Order: sequence, then C-alpha cells, then structure tokens
Amino acid sequence: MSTYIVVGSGVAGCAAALAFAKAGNKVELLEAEGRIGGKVLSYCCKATDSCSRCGVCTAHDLFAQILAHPGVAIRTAVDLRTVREAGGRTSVRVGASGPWIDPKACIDCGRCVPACPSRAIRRYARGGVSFHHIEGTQCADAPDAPCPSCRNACPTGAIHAADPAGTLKKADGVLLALGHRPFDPALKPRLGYGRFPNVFTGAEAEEILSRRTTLTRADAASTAAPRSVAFIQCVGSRDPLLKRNWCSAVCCAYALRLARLLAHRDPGAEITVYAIDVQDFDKALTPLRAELEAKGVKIVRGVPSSVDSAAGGRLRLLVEDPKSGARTAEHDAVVLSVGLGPDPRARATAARFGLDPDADGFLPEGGGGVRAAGTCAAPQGIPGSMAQGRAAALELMSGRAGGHVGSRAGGHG
Amino acid sequence: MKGGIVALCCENSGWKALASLGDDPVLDGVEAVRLPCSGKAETGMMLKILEKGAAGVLVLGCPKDDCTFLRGSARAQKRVAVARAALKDAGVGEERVRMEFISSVDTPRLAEAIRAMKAALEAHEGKA
Amino acid sequence: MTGIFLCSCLGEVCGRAELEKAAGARVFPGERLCTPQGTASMAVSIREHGVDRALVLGCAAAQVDAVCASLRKAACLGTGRVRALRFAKRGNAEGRAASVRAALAALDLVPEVRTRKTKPNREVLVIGCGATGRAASEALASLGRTALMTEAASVTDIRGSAGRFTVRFRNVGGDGENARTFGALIVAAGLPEPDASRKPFVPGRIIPLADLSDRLSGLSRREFPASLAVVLDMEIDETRAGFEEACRACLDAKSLRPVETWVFLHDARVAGPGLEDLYDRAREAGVQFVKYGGRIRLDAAGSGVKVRARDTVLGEEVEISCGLAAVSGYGLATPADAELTAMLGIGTDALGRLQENNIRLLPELTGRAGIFVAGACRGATYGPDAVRDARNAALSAHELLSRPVETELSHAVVDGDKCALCLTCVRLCPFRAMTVNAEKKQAECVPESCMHCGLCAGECPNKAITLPLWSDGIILALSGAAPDAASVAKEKRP
Repeated sequence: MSTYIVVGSGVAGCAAALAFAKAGNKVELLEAEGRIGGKVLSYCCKATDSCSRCGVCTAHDLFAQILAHPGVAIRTAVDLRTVREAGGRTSVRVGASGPWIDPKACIDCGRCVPACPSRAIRRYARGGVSFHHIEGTQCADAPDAPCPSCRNACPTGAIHAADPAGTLKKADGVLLALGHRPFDPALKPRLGYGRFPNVFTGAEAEEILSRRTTLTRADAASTAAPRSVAFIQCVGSRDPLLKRNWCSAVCCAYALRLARLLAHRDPGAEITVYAIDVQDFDKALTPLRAELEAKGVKIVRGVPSSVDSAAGGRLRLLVEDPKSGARTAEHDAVVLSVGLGPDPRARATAARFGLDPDADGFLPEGGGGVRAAGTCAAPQGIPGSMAQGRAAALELMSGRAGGHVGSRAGGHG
Repeated sequence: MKGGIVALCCENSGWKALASLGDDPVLDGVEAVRLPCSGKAETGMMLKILEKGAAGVLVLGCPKDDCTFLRGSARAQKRVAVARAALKDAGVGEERVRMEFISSVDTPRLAEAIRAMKAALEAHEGKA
Repeated sequence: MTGIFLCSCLGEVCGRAELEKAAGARVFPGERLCTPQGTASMAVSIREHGVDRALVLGCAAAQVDAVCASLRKAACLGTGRVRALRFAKRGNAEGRAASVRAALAALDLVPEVRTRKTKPNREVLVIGCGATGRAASEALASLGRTALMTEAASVTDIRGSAGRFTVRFRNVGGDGENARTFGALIVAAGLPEPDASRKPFVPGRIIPLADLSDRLSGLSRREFPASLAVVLDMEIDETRAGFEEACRACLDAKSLRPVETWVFLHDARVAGPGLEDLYDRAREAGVQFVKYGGRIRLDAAGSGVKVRARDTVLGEEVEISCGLAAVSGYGLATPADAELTAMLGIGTDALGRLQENNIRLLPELTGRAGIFVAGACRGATYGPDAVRDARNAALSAHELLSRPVETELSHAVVDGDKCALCLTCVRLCPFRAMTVNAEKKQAECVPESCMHCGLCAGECPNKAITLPLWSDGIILALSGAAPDAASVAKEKRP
C-alpha cells in the first residue's frame, strides 16, 4: 500500500484518485479552490431524448464515488507551502488559505449558511452529489481577525480553520491535474463580448443551461429563448497571432452538442455554427451531422471576424466569403466557442514538482514519480480527461512488481 | 389535480435529479418510486398505479446511450407507448402516462417536465 | 422485526408519537443518523433488539444511499433490508404516514439474499498483437499481472463469465484445438484491412493509404506519378489518425520526388499534440487541401484517376486528374471482424465496431463484465487514444481480478412453469446473462453476469421472471398502490 498525492480535484484528478484508492492505496486529494469538482460542475447536460456523450453525468458519478471512498482524504482551499523530493518520495507541506469544508464529512445540513456573517457559504446539489463549500473571496476570516462562526455552527466538525503553517504529507507519487483556463474573449474585442449582453462564451452558455432551460441571462427582460443563435468556433484557438496555435478539441464538441440541444428544444430556431474545421470528438460524428442537418442546423465554413449591433437588439456578424468578399448575417444571440488554454497558476505549481511545460504551456505526461493528466496536459473533453487520469495513475502504480507477458503465435495469415 | 403523480425513476438518473430538486415546491404531489432501471417499468404496472388512484405516471429514464444497462430506457419508451395507446383506446386519456429522458444532472429539465405533466393533467381533468 | 430509526433533525417535521401511530413498528429515536457515529448507534440497536429490517428517517436527501450502504455493512443486514426516507419540511402528516407505510410494506417483501464468492482466474488474455495489444500487455505486466497475447484468428470459442472465461484456440500448425481459462479478456483486435481488390480500390490506381508509402518507394523515376491525391472521410468522418497519415504520406512523397499532392477531406482534424504544426508544414510544403462536402467520386478510367468533389470553401465543384489516388481505410465503414463479434457476444455500435456508443462504457467497457476493448476495434483509431484505451483496459482487468468475484444471488429468477422458451429474455439481455437450460426446459439467469436491471422481468410476455429485490409487489407497495392480498401472500418471505 502506497500513498499518492493528487493535486486538483477535477475529473482527471478524481479519476486518478479513485484508481489509486481502488488498488488499496491512500490518497490525499488536494484542491486549491473552496470546492471539489473543477469546471465540470458548471457544465450542463446536453441530451435531447438521446445522450450526447458529453460526460457531465458520469463525472458526477465519479465525484460521488470519490466522496464515498474511505481511502481518499480531501482537502480544499489548499495552499502548497513547500514541495521537496527525497529518496524517491515527495514531501508536501499542505496549508489552507482559508477556512474550508471537508465535502466528505459534510452532512449537508445547511446550518453553516445562516451562521456566516459574510454570506460566503454555498451549496452544490446536482447529479447525486451535494455538499456545502466556502466562497474564499467572500469569506471574512483573516489571520488578525479570525471568524469561527461557520465552524461553531457545524454539528460534525466538517469545517476546518485556515492553516498557514500546514501539515506535512509524504507520497510515493504525485499526480498533477491542474486544469485549464478558458480563453478570455476580451482579447478579441471585435467579437463583442462584454459589449452586448446576448454574446455568451461557451462556458457561460453551459452554466446557464445547467440551471435553466433557455439560453437567457438571469437578468434578461424576457425568458424567451433566442430564435436565431450563432456559434463562432475557434475563438482563442488555432490563432498564431495570439500565440495560441493549437486546436482546443472540445469547442466543436460542446458547440455541436449545444446546437443540437437548442434545435431540439425550439424546433423553429435558426442555429448556425461558423467553423473552420469540425473535429472528430465522437465516434458518431457522421450521424450527428446528419441529425443536425435534418434539424436545420447549418454548419458554415468561415468564422466571422466581427460582431456588431443590429436593429432590435440583434447582432450582425461579418463573414468573409471567398466569392463575394464579405457578407453579413444577423442573429439574436452569439455563443463564442472559447478554447482551453494553460492556466498560469498551473505552470507555477508544476514547476515546483519539476515538470516544465511545452512551448504552448501544456504539461508533458511526465515520468518517474510525477505525472500530469487532464486539461493541464492537453485540451480534451471529460471522457478523455478521466481516461488520461486513470492511465496516469496506472503509470505511477506500476513498476512495483514485474509480471509476465506471453505470446501465442500461429494461426494467422 | 387529484391523486398526484407517481414518478417511476431509474436510480441512475431520475432519482438523483429528483434529489437535486430537494424541497422545491414543484415536487408537491409527486411520489418518487425507485427502480434499478427504467427498463423495469412495465405497462401493466403503470396501468395498475393509475387504477389505484394516481392522477399520472411519469417514467423517468436515462437519455438513450446514457442508460447504465444499455437498452433500458429505449425499452421503457416502447412500454409507455403501449400504455398510452391503451389509455387512449379506453378513453381515459393518454396524458396520464408519460416518458421523459432526463439525466442525473439535468435538474432544470426535470422541473420543466414535471410542470408540463401537471399542466397536461390539469387540462385533461378540466375537459373531463 | 422492523425498526424505524428517527433522526432528531426531523424534530419539527415528524415526532415519535406520530410515527408509532402510523407505523405500528418500533421506533428508535437517534441523533445525526447520517454520520458514522449515527450509523454505529443504529447498528448497536439493531443487534440488541434483533432488528432484521430497518427504515431510516432523516432530512438529508443526498445521504440516503450512503446511509443505507454503511448501515447494512455495520449491522450485517442483507441488500434491500435497509431503506431510507427523507421528509421535506413542507408536507403533511397524512403524506408522511403514507410514505412510511409504503416503505414498511416494501421492506416486508424483501427476501434474504446470499452472496457467493469465487476466486477469479488470475490470467488475462489480450486478443490482438498490434500496438494496442502490446500496450495492454505491457501495462498488465507492469501491474504484476500475467497476460497472454494472441491473434484474433487463433480464437475459435469464448464462453463463461468474468473471472472465468474458457477460450478455445486453434493449435499452432493448424491441427486441433486446445482450451484455456482466463479471468478477463482485453480485445485489441483492430479492424480488418480494407480489401484492395474491391471498391473503391482499383489495383495500381486507387490504393489504400496505408500502402502508399511502400508503393511510392518502390517506383522508379519514370513510374512515379506527377500528381497524387489522398482521399479522407470517404464513407464516414474519420479520426485524426487518417489526417496525420495523409499529411505524413504527402510530405514523404514530396521528399522522394517533386509531385503535386492533393488531400481531399471533410475537415482538418488537428485536435492532437503536433497536428496543427503538421498541417502548417504540409501546407507550406505545397500540399493542397480541398475541404469537400458530401460524396466524393473517384474514376479510374483512362490513364489516371479523376477526382470529383464539391469544394465547400469555394462553393463549387472541382475536378482534378492525378496519376495515383490513395483512400484512407479509416474513412471506410469497415465493421469489426464478424466472427470475433459473434464469439464475444457484445453489442456493437452503428458501424459494427466492438462497443456500443454509450457514455457509461467509454473508453474500455463492453456490455459484459470482464471483457474490455481497446483501440481501433472499438472505433478509437488515433494512436494516443488507442494506447490510453489499452492502459485503462489493463487497469480495469487488474481491478476486477484483484479481489474475489462476489456475486449477490439476487439475480433474475425464471418461473419454469410459466416460461415458454420464447427466448425474448435471452435475446434482450444486454449482458448475455440469460441462457437456456435444456434439461429444465426453461431460461435461466447466470448470477455472475446479471446486472439486476430488470429488463428481462419487464419484457417477459408471460411474466415468468422476477427480480427478487425489485419485485412487482415491492414497486407497487412503494408507489402507494397496495398490492392485492394474493400476490403479497405468494411473494412474502419469512
């Protein structure tokens, strides 16, 4: 039995942690944010009557398993104080940047919520997973002015105080699942993000649709679904000028799945996807494209260069056309399919474990006692991140006992 | 709407989505019954539940290709179709049995589906 | 005796007196029943008072499953013998009483369920000796597990279930067979090579992309074509594997001789490390990419090959003539080997590949416990994906075989008197758990393969099948529709 440290509790980290735990090892799952789960918790189900295979529900099943497994210890609001390697083992001093709620010990009673004077405690409940967590940015607890209100209200001691000094943890292997940062659309101001309320990022669209059934902001005047929606692909990806010359892999996936969903919910809606290329994100891409065509969803080759306002609160897109030079198209709403990029904090954390990123900023798979998995290693979707997390766990666990591979020749042409 | 709705839920999807709704008033009058798979819900069972006084039966299954048991929700869909046809023939109203494909994480869609069923049942009651 | 455990958190909602009145069963009040301490105190009460069925009432919706599982374990109660209910803060006494009565009625109907433990066979069979098969074998070896690799063509029969598969092989040399037992199977058999003598191929003119580099390197300067076309996505949208191969093949060709190269494809699949760079390099080297829509037509009449397609960028039909055309096999809708598919008894996807396209199976599961798939045979043709599949399959096989196979004997039960051998259940079961017992002349469920989904019970035209922990009586009781006395009497177990 060995001990492993997993840094990052998104899908890749949890997949790895569960693999370690199932094999009988002890796992310390460390998360910098106040809650586990990473970005998946804000993604929506994209099924119509049939599944789109996005993985959000299976991710929640994974989180439920992690919360129930006795071999996994979870810490949130983690601040890695020191990282040292000696004799094949890694020593990490794990501090807490603020008070934190252990999601495994939380019985979801909710007594902490009214007790908090800063209203900093939130509840997450979806897909068979529910727990409370502290929103670090709103928490008033400080070293010179500690606030024990939530801790005092908790009947099971699931809430822990901030810990600047930290506790020492030693591990036989480390898995880094540090996640990604979505592209900031403000870096492409011509696309109108922030200027027009009906321009969304893909991540925002997912978050909205995880809580309501139409693509409308909470403060929108009307809850009626936009009747004409445009998805603009490759925003912040495949862009040499922005030094982001990689394909983010998942944007075609989430855009086409969202397009299918919106078309299903509103059969009269006009959905258009402006793309350069469509990536192979699913085995059933061919029937999906046929289904989209049948539902009237258009996939247009050519990405608009600008989004401006049009009459009636609509949006006008400028699209380059090889034949006519340029043409415009009007829509009620635009979704910018922003790509996945490396997170600068991830780079700093990885460096402490001796892992240096490639030219684009993504982490190599690693070797020896430190591996990376998930979107910090390459842009990928939920099933891919989970698979990579498990594969990385296998790499870390293996090499401890040699097995035998036999080969049976013959009988083939 | 008299009698309430019995929701036959697959424990992998509908049951979890219902739990996420917590104390939401949309669940008033909804009795959840847990099944291993929506594919266990039988036509006879749906009709029997109606016979014993429920206003409606809502079968909640995983979206197709999300079913843990691969074929379950697709089979359930066929059985619901048989139940609806039987109810229609009997003049009792096919709205009283409905199938919805909702994953464990699609909470807003579940709330919408329950509201839609309640509205349909009330309209049906109004006509009767 | 059935015990009702009432958590103090429900104090305002429901009291002991109300419950005792409604239920007629013993009520044990407790505190924080959803915590480990709560579970421990309930287990103590269960042992002290000889409780054999428990109903736990609390306020936390999400903890229901966890509480049931930990209490069952702590108090050694059988599956289904612990139920938990949560009461919302709203709601009335009548509704609560009805829920409690329904739960108690259901609990009464739950039979005793035994468990059977078998030690699984420790060896794993990897079917397929290509890169994916080798990756799976290496991963297994690194976990300390013994793996045997074989070509799919050597396998003649596969029987059994997880932990105990009996596989028959053709002997080396072709005479006779022998059999061996394995705990798990990993199928990495790839896809059959396209038949270069059949459509769309025309020998010498339209060849498989996989053969292109070899063919070109064998040509003299005179024979070398002045232009060549590579065709992707011919029948189905393919993965990055074909795109990568196409770019490399064109760059290789150009490194041999000056040759005009065209790549016809639906989309440039660049979602992988280094692929965007490869695309850039190919274009810089002069490879022309035509992004076509719909069907592409290849015509080998005359001295060369004519390629016709609709260019979606220019919005018009294009036609080029070239000396040689290569079609990517990944773009052809080739199903997995039919014999192997039949032997494995697993579902396939719409293209006939060895894995239904269900999210819960990705990446390495099939519908049968103990049988795993990896790589091209399941549709994952891109190299890094296939290797990742192989590692996942190895880990899953290892997890399966690392502990005894514990089978709960709560599988589907067929009533021989009612079974008409219509074979509906045998055909329907997604997990191949139903077999025909020729002696008893009825269908029978293999406990080790049963997944307790109840599809068979739901579908049997004669209602001959019951799922003991989810019987009709239990479900009707839970739905508040009281089962009639006759069916209760038949189902009730001591």
